Amino acid sequence: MKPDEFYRNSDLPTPKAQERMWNTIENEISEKQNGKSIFFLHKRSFIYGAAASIILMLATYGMYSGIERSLANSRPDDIKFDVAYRSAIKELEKVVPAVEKTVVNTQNADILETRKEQIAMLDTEISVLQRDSKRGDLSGLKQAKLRQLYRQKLSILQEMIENGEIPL
Amino acid sequence: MSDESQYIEKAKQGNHAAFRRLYDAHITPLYRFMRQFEGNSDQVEEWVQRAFIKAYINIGQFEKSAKFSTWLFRLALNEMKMDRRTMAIIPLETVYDEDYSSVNTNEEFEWNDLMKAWLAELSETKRMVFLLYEVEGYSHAEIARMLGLGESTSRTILARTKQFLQTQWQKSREI
Repeated sequence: MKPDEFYRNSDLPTPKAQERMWNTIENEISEKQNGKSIFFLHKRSFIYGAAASIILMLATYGMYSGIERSLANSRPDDIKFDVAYRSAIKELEKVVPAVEKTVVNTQNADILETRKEQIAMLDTEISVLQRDSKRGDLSGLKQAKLRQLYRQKLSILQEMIENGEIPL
Repeated sequence: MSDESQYIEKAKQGNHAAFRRLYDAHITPLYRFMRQFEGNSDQVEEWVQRAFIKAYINIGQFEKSAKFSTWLFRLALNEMKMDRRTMAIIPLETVYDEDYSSVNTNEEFEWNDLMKAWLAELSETKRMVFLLYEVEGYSHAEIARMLGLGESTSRTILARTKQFLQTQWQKSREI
């Protein structure tokens, strides 16, 4: 069957919509590309900066860990949630490497590949938000998004266990 | 090297104009397909945009042997699945590989426009397999990769879907 026989005109993107979508895509990829080039341009400064940060970090570590301990019990709920999600995911991920060894040669290899792709995409988005979080640049909206991503990842891992894709 | 492969190679080097050519070639098939599973056109635009952005970001990992459109469709479907999972609109359908050897996959089939309404009654997975094979022209191997199914499952789903449409068509003619 030819696509024209099946689809109606209302199923197709209008030229205006195509242009609108492309503008969004181009803005997004330009932003990402600029970020990348700035990183490479300033690689040397970045390395010196990173070295200095490590020294500073070590110096403040002792002080920080003391504060961390005393604040642990007074953390806001948001942070407690994030920590809880992260540790739950870590526990579930302990069983994931076993899947790659056992399922990869079976007919479920395609499903596994899709799952791995989904998890990789979530990991990328989570790590971006975690970086913001470490910089203290995490708005309420971003916090909600981060928790949503944790939930999605947990639910994929849970589904894999429930469907028997991960042998227990 | 085909035009598309050249555009992909250029896009890997950060060439936006080449990526625009890929966008122009694939936007309509991808959009019209995704539109069949969502009534809200803004939502469809969102999935399609995210798929293209992810394709650009990860184009370095794209294998030459693969088909760009297959990869792009899979990215868009992943976006849809992830959103649906979050919004909990519908539970994701899990399709298991079974022994489908009893299903006749060679039965003759003729499309009639009336079948569109009956097709809409079927699950998303069935509609996806039908559209990808019958309308968009993908092979079962490609569909299997896009949807995370076994190849034989894709064949069987298609055969059963056609069987269902054929039966409904015959019933309507008897009335």
